[in-house]
Amino acid sequence: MKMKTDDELIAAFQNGNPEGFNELVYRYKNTLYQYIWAMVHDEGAAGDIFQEVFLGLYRRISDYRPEGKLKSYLFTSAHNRILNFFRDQKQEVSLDDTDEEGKAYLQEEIAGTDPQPLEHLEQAELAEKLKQAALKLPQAQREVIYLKQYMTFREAAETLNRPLGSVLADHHRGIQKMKQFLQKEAAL
Amino acid sequence: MKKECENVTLYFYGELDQEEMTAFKAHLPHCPLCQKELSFLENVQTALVPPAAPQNVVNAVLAQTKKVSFWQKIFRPALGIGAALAAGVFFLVMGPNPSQTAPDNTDWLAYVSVQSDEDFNNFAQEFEIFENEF
Repeated sequence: MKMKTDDELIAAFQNGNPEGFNELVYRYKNTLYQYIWAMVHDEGAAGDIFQEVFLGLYRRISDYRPEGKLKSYLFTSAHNRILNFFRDQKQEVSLDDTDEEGKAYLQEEIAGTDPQPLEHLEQAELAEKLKQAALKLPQAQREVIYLKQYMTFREAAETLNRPLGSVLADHHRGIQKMKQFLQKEAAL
Repeated sequence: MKKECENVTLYFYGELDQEEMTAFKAHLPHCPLCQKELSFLENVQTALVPPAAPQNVVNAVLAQTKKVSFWQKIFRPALGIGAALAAGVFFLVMGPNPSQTAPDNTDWLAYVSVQSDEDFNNFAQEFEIFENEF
C-alpha cells in the first residue's frame, strides 16, 4: 500500500480524521526529537520543544498550505525554538561563522589533517569520542552536522534560512574540527 | 588536493549530479585522502545517533491534540445543560415546600427513571430530526 504523503495526512486531519495528525507525529517523532536533543542536550527541554513544535502545527493546521514542505516547517520551527532556548539560557549563539557562500569550504584543504591516529581506536571508543567532539563544536556547525542526518544540504539550508554554501562550509569545518579533536585526544 | 576531493562530502550523502558522480567514482580509487574522509564521515554518521523520542513525550502531544469527535462536540454541552436544568427543576419542585420530607432512595430512583426516559425521548426525537435533515 502506498504511504500517504504529509500533505495527504494533513488533509485527512482537516477533514475530521484524527489519525492523520497522529501518523504525522509518529512519522517525525524520532528525527525531530533527535535533532532537538542533539542541540539542547537536556531531556526536559528537548521534550518541551518537541511538544511545542507539534502543538504549534496543530494550532495553525488550518493555515497549512499543501506544498510538500512539512518536514522543513517542523525542523525550522524546532530550530527557532532551540534558538529561543539558548537565548533564555544566555548562551552565546553564533549563527554563521563561515565565509559568505561557503568560500572557506572551497579553500580549505582536506589534506590539512593527518588521518592516522584514528585507526587504533575501537569502534565504541571512537563513537564516544566523536560524540564528545560534536559537543565541542560551535552551535552552527553542530546543528548542520546533526540536521544533515535527516535531510539534504539544500533542505538544511532552507530549514536554517541560510545560503547553501554557508551550510556546506559549516559542515566541512565541523567535520575537520572533530577530526582534529580526535587527533589531539589520541596524542595525549 | 584535486578538484574532485571537494566533492567527497556530497558524494558520501549521494547529492552529486550524474556527471560529478562519475568523475568522483573515477577519482576515488586513486585518492587515499578521499577514502579516509569517506571512512570518517561514515564513523560520524554511525556515532551521532541521539536517543529516540520517549513515549511519554509522544503521548503528551497526542493527548493535547486529540480531536473531539462530532458527537462529543454536540453531546458534551447538551449533557451539561440537561444536568443543570434537571437540578434546577428538582430544587424548584422540592425547595419551596417545607412540609416535604427529604427524598428517600425510592424517590430518587423514580426521579432518575423519569428523567432518563425524558432524556432518551428528547434525544430520539432530535436524532430523528437530524437524520431527516441530513
